[in-house]
Amino acid sequence: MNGAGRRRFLKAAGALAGLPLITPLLRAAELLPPKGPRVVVVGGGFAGAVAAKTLRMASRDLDVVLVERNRSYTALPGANWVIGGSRRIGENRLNYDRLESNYGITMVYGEALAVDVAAKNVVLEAGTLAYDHVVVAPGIGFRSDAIEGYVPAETPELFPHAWTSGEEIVALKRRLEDMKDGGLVAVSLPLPPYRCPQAAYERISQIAWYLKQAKPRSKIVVLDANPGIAVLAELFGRGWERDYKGLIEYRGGQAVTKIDAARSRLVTAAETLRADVVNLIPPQIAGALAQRSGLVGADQRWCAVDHTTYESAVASGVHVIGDAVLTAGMQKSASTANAQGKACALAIAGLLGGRKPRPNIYSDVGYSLLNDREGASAIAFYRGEGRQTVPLERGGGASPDWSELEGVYARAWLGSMIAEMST
Amino acid sequence: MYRCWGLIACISLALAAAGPAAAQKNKAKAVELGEMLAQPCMACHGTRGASTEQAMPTIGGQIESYLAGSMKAYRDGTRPSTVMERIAKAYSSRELEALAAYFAVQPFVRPPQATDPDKVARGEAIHMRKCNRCHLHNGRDTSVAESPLLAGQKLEYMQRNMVEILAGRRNIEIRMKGALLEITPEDIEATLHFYAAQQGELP
Ligand SMILES: Cc1cc2nc3c(=O)[nH]c(=O)nc-3n(C[C@H](O)[C@H](O)[C@H](O)COP(=O)(O)OP(=O)(O)OC[C@H]3O[C@@H](n4cnc5c(N)ncnc54)[C@H](O)[C@@H]3O)c2cc1C
Ligand code: HEC
Ligand code: HEC
Repeated sequence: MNGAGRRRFLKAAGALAGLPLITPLLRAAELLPPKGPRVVVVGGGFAGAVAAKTLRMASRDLDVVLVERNRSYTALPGANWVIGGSRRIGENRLNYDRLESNYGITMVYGEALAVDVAAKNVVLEAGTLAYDHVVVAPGIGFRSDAIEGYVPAETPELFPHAWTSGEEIVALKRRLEDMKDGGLVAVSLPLPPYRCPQAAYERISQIAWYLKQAKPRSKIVVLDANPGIAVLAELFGRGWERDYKGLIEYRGGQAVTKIDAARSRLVTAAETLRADVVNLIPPQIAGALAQRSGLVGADQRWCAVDHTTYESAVASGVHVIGDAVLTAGMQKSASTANAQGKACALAIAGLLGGRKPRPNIYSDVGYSLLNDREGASAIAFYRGEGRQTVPLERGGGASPDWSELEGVYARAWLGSMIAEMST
Repeated sequence: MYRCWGLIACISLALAAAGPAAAQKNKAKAVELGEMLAQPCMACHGTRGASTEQAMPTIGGQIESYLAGSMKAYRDGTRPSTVMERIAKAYSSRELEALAAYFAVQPFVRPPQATDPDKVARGEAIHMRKCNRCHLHNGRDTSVAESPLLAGQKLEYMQRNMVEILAGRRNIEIRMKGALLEITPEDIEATLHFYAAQQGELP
């Protein structure tokens, strides 16, 4: 990093409210002397955990450190089914003990304050971690300034997004349980790109399934900033028509621009809506760590990368994977995060072993459940071409219809994904 | 049974298995390409193809010809599937072969499964009479016929597969038809419990 770049980094890092000033930390001591070529992975979500594991599988000579703020992780995929009642949230919880014992990954629990690209280390409150390569996988943050009246520290209490951890979905479910029969639920969706649009339509289906069983006189109004259902449109349309007619009222092209959370009100260009339960999913950006470390691109939102190595377009030796990455068209999903994590890990192991990385093929498989049994999937294939991901001409597509068999495989997919990242 | 850790080890094992030098080189290349392509498969089929889910088949350590044949059948729509047709269609024949080559040199992992001891005992007897001819060594060996490994395959998956085969929805089941026609559905169910009960390495 040059002088100007470094100043920009320090400014970005120091400007963060609530964080200690970063300058003294840069001189802090190394936490763990490297045991060999070292890769530090920050963020133990679907992208980071599997990247750390794949690195160790590819080369036992690598010193792999995984930095994660929490000791346990509650997956989001399948957490919507908790609302519908066909899954317990405990099934979505995992920890990192077996990544340590089975693969020799060193876990460091704590908040990564920033990646110091010039010094080649990751800065934590307690000290620094030097790296040869760093993989940044922080997930998402919210653009709360996009909605007038949105207060990051307060609004999610009143209008839960339930979009960053499976645990939050339990709170949303409780609201629905507390609501009277005949109540109104509003679900507000931002414009893509955001984390897993398919999961948003599944969320609506699961709320509808719950209401149909428990509070059949109630109603859901969907305010979608997108003009229409963004993923699996035909199937969700058909399923809602068949099972939830009169229960779900879908309004496309309705971005929420202003809220009054205390009075439970949502404002769009067309109307002001008062609802009993509001699930407000705000517009999104790359996770705060990416912002603090100066890794977001020209759009000020997401991290541009090379889709062969996942190396950042603005910082060498720094790789970004998962939801924080800028991809045209490719859905931000656990499936994508998993594929990117593994591709990035193999590329880094190759680079450290003197091999030239080769362009790869990625798939995104998204399963959704319409109710407690029937599932469907959307599959998309892409190949990496420099900073672009280009859809493959062949393969992929949507299920022909909702089916119980795909419901069975949706649950198996989730079990397998959780096992992959934690065992 | 091969065991390997990391690409180099896998390639050397593939080499040892492949024979003459030129064939060995092609094989090593296929495994290397396969390793890269195989990563997204593992999200469903488990790390290195070792499934952790009853509904999903283990494909790591399965015999190569069966893997390649299945993928091509999915691609061509001659084997029924929910997702595999949409997945297999994304790859060229060469890529499908590379995927098969990679998964074939992974260990076939056989963790304990819940099975019914009575069925397992009965299944063993039926297996010896009717199935052992092709599914050798309790279903762990395929050195004679090109039939798939069954020992340690996920029970729920095999049951679902068998329904498909018996219903004539797979056009390759002909080779096995004789054996299946001679026994009752209960007998077949018992043999599947016997296969699912197999654990560990090839004795
Ligand atoms: C309701 C819902 C349902 C979904 N269902 C599906 C589905 O069915 N299929 C699918 O494919 N996808 C699904 N998704 C999307 C999926 O959850 C995300 O795409 C996925 O979690 C992205 O993984 P990630 O690793 O990029 O981010 P995350 O999973 O958010 O992981 C980021 C990790 O980094 C840690 N972290 C962040 N910053 C720091 C820091 N500074 N220091 C230390 N640690 C840090 C966090 O604690 C977290 O553990 C769903 C999403 C939602 C909201
Ligand atoms: C989204 C989950 C998913 C992914 C990803 C996936 N599979 Fe499958 N696979 C399945 C399911 C489910 C079946 C059963 C057939 C069906 O319904 O599609 C299956 C069946 C198979 C079988 C048949 C096994 C047997 O013993 O009968 C093979 C071989 C296979 N898959 C290989 C692959 C390969 C290779 C890849 C990667 C290119 C892959 N699969 C990716 C879910 C998946
Ligand atoms: C003549 C040889 C032969 C005999 C005898 C035979 N099989 Fe098979 N079996 C095969 C072949 C070949 C296949 C692969 C079929 C295909 O390609 O779809 C197979 C596939 C299977 C499968 C599906 C595996 C999968 O992953 O999809 C099961 C289960 C099975 N056999 C069970 C049995 C049982 C039980 C018996 C005894 C009752 C038996 N077989 C007897 C040759 C045989």
